[in-house]
Amino acid sequence: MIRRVEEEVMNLVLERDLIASNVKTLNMKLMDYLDEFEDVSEIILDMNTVDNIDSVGVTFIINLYKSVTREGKSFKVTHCSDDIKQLFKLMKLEDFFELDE
Amino acid sequence: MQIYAKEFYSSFAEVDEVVKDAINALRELNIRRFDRAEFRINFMLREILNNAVEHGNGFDRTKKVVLTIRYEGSVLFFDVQDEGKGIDRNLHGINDFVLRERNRGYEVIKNFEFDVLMDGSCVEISLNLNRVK
Repeated sequence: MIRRVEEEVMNLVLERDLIASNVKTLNMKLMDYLDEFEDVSEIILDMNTVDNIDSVGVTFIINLYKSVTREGKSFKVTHCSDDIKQLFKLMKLEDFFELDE
Repeated sequence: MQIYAKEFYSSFAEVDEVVKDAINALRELNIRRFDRAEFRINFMLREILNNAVEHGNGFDRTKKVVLTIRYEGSVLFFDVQDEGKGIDRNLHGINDFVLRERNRGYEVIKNFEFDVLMDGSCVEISLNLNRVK
């Protein structure tokens, strides 16, 4: 996962599938970035390279969403495939955060 | 007709490898409508196999999970067996939040048109490809 900060927006760009075997590493990386959340007003999770996801991956997103919004920041998920969008719709995740192109 | 069988040790990394292998095997068969169902089959396999590894075998790497896939008529059958006790394993050892989130996976499987049969430590999932839109 790469982070890019531009002005008050942090982009977290995933580089691999969001699946159980990758989530532990992603959580460790996220811990390194948490301190920098203070300096931004919005976190965007970029899913451009994600083809596959499981419920451990979905839980990663929900936990990230909770951490971000607890600090009063806004959260958005971007560049999801149509399949993943359909999955999020089934899980009613659109009720919580914005899915953007 | 059995089209795939794999026995593997209990880790999420093994699950990832087996799912990729099984999906590749299914692709090679050129089954009608499989392309429309590939994402949901991938998701379902990860849910069921992760569950077998985590809650069935408790991440015990000496315990195995067995996946077999059959194709009969227009129906794909996925049989998964672990070495767990098969009793309340879904409710053991994880906190309420994680349980709630992970159980969404099972709801999605049902919404993805899969039929699920559980018998002890065996799970049979089936998908009639004619029902896939």
